[in-house]
Amino acid sequence: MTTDRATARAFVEQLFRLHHAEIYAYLAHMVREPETAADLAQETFVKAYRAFDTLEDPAHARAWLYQIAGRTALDELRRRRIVRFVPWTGESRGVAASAEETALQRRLSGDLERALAAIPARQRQAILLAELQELSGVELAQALGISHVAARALLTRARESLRQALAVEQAAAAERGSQRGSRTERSRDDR
Amino acid sequence: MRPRDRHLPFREALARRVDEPLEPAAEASLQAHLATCGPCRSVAQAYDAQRKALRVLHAPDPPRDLWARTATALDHEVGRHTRAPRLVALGSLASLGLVLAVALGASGLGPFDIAPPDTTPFPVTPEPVAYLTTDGNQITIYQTQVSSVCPASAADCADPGPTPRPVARVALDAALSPRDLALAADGNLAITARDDLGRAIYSVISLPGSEATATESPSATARSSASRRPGPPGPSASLSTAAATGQTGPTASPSAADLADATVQQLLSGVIAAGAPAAWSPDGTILAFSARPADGSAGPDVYVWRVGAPAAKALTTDHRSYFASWDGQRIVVSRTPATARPAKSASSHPPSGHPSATRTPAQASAAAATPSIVATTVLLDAATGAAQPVALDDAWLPAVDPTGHLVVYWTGTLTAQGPTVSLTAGALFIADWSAATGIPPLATPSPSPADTAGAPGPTSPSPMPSPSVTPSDSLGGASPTPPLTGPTATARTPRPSGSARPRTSPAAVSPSASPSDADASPAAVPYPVTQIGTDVTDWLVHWAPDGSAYGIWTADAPGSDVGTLIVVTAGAPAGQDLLGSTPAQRAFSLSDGRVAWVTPDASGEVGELRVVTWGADGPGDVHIPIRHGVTLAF
Repeated sequence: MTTDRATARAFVEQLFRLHHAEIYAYLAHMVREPETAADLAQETFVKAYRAFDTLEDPAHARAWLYQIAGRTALDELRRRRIVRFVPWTGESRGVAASAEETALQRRLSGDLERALAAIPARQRQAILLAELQELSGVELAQALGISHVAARALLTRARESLRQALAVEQAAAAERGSQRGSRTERSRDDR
Repeated sequence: MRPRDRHLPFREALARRVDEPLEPAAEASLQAHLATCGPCRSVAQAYDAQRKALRVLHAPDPPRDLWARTATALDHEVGRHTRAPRLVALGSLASLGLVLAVALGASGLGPFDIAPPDTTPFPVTPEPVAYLTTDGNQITIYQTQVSSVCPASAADCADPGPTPRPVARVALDAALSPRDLALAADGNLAITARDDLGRAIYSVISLPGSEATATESPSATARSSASRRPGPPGPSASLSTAAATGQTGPTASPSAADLADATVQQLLSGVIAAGAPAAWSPDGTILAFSARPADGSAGPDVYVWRVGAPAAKALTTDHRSYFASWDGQRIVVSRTPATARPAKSASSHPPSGHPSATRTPAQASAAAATPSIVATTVLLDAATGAAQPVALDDAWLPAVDPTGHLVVYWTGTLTAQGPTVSLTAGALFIADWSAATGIPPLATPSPSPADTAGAPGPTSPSPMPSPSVTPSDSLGGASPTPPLTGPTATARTPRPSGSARPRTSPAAVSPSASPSDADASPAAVPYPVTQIGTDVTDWLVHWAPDGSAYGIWTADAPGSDVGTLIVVTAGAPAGQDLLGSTPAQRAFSLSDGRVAWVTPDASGEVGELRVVTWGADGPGDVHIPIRHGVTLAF
């Protein structure tokens, strides 16, 4: 480490003030668990502190931060797959969840969220960064850690995958609706 | 080769057009196609709808404590780079070293600025470590994987340490204090909790993903293959306190179950924990513990719960049986006499050299008023309850090593006070279990003390917790227990007079006997009885699965959750500190080649999760920042 650690600490603190909300939202959509998203957000800023020396241009700090967050989320998703991680779902087992968690789950439980969860994580990254975080062009490519051309191709594939996944979800919802009638919406929320 | 869908280029163009305008020619071509292609128009509409939906997708708010958590983690990181590493190099210069360290640390130069030998983390066999926090009525279990550590001698190591993740969360009916944990290899976590009246609730939680996690560890895979997943969940219930159910006596059945798929099963409530903490059989299929009615109407009995069973059942009915540990698939039990009978000589029970003369007048008075008793040790068949006596008469709560070779137990003055047993003066000893039982140890015994060369046995990492022992229903001495002394300090102390342990040769227990003097054959010369702690009344013992080491935690004060932890080799050579006396919270985890515990901070609160390695992985150390709360490593 060649950089003064106090400088790095102050810089990361500034980054946190500016971007923690969007980083958290991004991670929450990526992993679909509020508590894990908070842990990953924390980890993202700690990693940013450690990797401060690798930031070549502070003007690109936002994309750099998204790149760290994205890798952290992918690591988490990869780890889940390796260990067959089962997200805790205590609130769905009759255990009282906090009001915040319940509200978040409800908001995340729509067809779109399910479709987002169904597409490959890398594509999900691309589309979340482009639409929710409104990154584009070079910034999007930096956040994804790939070339501009590759980022554009990835985003195109992501849109198509999402469209197809959304169609599947909407068809499934329609089928549930025909079977359960007025209970359709509630069953979505409880899922 | 399948011909390419002629619509595909247009649909790709539609997707691309969402993000950037197309070239005029491409746009014109697309429009021409859309004019004649209904399905493609639908796709275009879907992309528009998708974008609108994404743009209004709710952005969840971060938790309010995110900055506090992050700041703590950042501070920890900063501390890792600015902590006083030179103190290690300066060693005994003590306070002078500290002053110099600060001064020289700032300059980075100087005669005492000894560079650390290695500042690069090195990989170790990945092994999971977990801990538990409570927040009000909620228990959250975190887990992480330790796959790299810093060299133990490194002053400044860049190892980030893994970030634990929550793997399970359980809401309780009331605030309980988890006290003891036991994790089986297949993911069943036994939790012994207390309510605010001190009554125990025994429960089992099936951890999600634990079975799969174990597959990352070779030894864990082996263990998992030997065990089995729980059967269909029996009646399940959220953890509920005895106060909530109004129970005062043992209730060996779960409360009303309204959660068909709940992962928490309550085994027993409305009792007072007695004997050693609950522990799993080596194959992870049976949980054993002992408890007595909270109303004091009877003494303790041993209970067993088989995975998949609806409730725990009492294995004994004599009301004087205390669970101690497992010896293979049999249960080691300490049993008090049917009617309190005086010890042959009360004064003989404190171990040799124990300062019984330093008892307070109140203690002496209590001892005089309450005759001491002699406990016996028996082995119980876990299925039938059939008992086999063990010639280890005045041993209390013997913790048998997983290979069946050695045992750590307490010896001292036991007095019966109603349904409880009081430990007023005593010490811990390690001795030869196979000699006491007449049962040979496993084919791969722990190293004999006669083996004086070499490092601890080869590591075969496993997350399987080792048997544990602590007195949970004893009235400890009023004075705080000092840190344990390592066996090297008091090694080869002869058995106190009055002890009864056959098949131990006089030479082996002679004060002059040394491991090197003994016959090299473990079968010929039992492990000499060795005092490993003094003035202990509240302790916890874990064995490494291969029997090569044991850890002992002693409470700073009887009943305290904060104490001191040491880890010592059991052989080859015996008595070597793998972890010197270290402040630690009550629960800790010892596997082959590593130990995990939670450090208390200056105020006794949770500090950080620590993992120290040795053996094949080499000496290493990991600091993992964790959240505050009632936290235990396992």
